[in-house]
Amino acid sequence: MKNTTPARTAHRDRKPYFDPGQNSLSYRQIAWLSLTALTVVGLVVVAFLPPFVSPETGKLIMSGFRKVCHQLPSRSFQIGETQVALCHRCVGIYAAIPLAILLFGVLRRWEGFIGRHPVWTIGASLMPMGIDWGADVVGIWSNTPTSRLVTGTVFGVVAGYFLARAVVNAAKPTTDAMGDVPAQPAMH
Amino acid sequence: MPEKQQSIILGSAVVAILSTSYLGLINCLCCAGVLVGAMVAVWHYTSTNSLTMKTGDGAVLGLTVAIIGSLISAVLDYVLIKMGIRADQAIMQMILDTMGDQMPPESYDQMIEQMEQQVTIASFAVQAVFGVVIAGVFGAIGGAIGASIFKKGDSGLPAA
Repeated sequence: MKNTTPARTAHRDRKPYFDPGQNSLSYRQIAWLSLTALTVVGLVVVAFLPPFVSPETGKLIMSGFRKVCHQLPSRSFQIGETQVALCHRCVGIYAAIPLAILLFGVLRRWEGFIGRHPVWTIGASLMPMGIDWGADVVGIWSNTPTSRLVTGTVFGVVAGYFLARAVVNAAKPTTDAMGDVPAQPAMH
Repeated sequence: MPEKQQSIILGSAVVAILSTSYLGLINCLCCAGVLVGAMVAVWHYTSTNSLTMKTGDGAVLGLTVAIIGSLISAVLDYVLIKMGIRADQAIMQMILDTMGDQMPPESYDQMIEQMEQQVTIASFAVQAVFGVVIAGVFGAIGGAIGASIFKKGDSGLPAA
């Protein structure tokens, strides 16, 4: 016999954060998502500018990113003989954030799990980076530009997804008591 | 919705402290200092008021504390540099001491060049602007994550 206690019924009837296949994003939400993605894309583009601008401008850009990246030459991409302003891992993280926003419609299929287990999701996304870095420090694995880029990308996608769902949530036109995204008219 | 000033002050202080001078090194780990500050602000707000924030509100709170905190950090950094405390140089020296012998000569020279670079008003302003933008992005992420993790009681918004 099925358990139909009020608590379970309420839990079952509660609307998911998103309703894949039914909810579409409003123009306002798409505009804010685009602005967010373009901001991060802009950062990545600027980080890759040093090889293409004058040395003085390049140094300014390098100093701009210095507070958020170690910028080790041996762990950063080089174009010609000039390194870019972000390390391999940071490039992966920053590039993956707009990618996650772009793939938001696909990624939100897992919203049910991510919404219920945010700590596990974040932890799991940090684990490849931790293993890649830790194993190199201990000496059982030598991380490579590819491994640093890929592990950074994994975290970046998850971080970007959290950012995208927050932007969608903040930009929704109206709210209900549960803070859920109400159904939007489909966009064609 | 309850006032957020105390949570903003607390979060901004955490971001500022964890982004200044030697402690700023923590931001090389995925902007961890900014993420932590934003999450602290959301945690404080949800705990104090026993409510659950929407992820959008959490992101806005995280964005706010990240911007304020990174601006305070920029001022503190400037004061410390003027006092002769160059954390960036010390950190690069440490990297050269520990990893310098494994570096290609051109990379080694690049780092020496970076170390010898003078801090000008222009470079400092650029650093502050980039710092605010990047901190804003990661602050919003931290706030959104915090709002997903720290849930207490009902949603902060009244029923529509």
